[in-house]
Amino acid sequence: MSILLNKDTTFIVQGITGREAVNLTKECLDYGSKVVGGVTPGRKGREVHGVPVFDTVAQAIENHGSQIDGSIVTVPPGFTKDAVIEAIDNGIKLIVVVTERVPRGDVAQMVEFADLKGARIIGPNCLGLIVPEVCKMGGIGGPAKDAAKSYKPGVVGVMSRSGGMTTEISSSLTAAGLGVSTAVSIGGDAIIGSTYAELMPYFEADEETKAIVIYSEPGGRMEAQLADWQSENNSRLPIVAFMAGKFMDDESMKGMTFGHAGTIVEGKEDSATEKIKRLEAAGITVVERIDEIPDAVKERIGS
Amino acid sequence: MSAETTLDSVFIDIELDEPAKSDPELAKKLEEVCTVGIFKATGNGAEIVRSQLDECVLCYLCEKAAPEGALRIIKKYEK
Repeated sequence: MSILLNKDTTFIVQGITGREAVNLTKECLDYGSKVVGGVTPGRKGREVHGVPVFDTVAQAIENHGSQIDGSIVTVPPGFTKDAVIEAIDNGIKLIVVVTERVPRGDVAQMVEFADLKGARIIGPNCLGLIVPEVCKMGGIGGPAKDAAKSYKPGVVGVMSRSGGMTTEISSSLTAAGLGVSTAVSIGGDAIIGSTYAELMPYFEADEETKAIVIYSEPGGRMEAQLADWQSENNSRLPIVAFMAGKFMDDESMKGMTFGHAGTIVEGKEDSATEKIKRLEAAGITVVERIDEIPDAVKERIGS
Repeated sequence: MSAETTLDSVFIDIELDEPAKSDPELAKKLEEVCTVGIFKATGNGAEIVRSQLDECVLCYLCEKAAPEGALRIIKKYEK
């Protein structure tokens, strides 16, 4: 099956008249996703690829006639917090925040508000999520015809701090005949709405998912949280991880940065080498190269 | 920017009470657990590196490492 999305999932796009939003709306529609409205204040009455545009989230829900499940937020960083809070206040339970460079304090407030209201945020700074041949919410996988090539239904749940690498890994799993149950681009920022450990219970509850693959980077505590979760819970799901950025541990590379805001290495424990040690200690297989992932998954699930 | 400069955009502050602040062992522990360099262990205890405060990822590892109630993460947006 899948996590978070299914064939009936409805969602809106906040900031739908922006350039990126127009493109991702078309990609989602072409993939078969149910985009039931868009919101851009002051643009009510327009259409984007046949999707009606409203001034507010409440208007979009009223027009739809029943509760809408999700929202993709694509508004500029300064307005992102307000957009997310508007969505959650209107009963939307799944919010994909695509926007990059959202102030960290705003993200902290968004995440706390979502927790308070029982909503889930994916991102910020992410490409969304996809259930192969069912629904995609966000720019993940690109145009529908490309997404259809990279993502085939299967048994592996994918979580990645890099949007592009979500598809790269999923493509390798698809090519190996394993396929993907749900792939989630969790976002590259230092504070995000859903970490690996927070999404694990969803995959655990999904009978179709037989293994998990994560793409990881130096910086932050997310891998340590996942290792702790894996050690503390008797999970049925084997995990295979790829850790990028080992070169950053080399003395000559000190000061080198990745593009993602979350990839800030200050402490010893959040270096790639330390993370690999911690993941392996928790029984997580860490591979050296992306193309080793499918074989490592097959070995772990015994297929 | 001096180490003591605090920008309006910094969304947290950290309060560390005595005697925990002057505990060299705790200072080392705080420096070790914080992944964004907010604590510096000096010979006299823990120094809060204010220029790093806006790098906080709200992992609460420092709060867990300190004696109960001795360290508080103040979320400025809650005021």
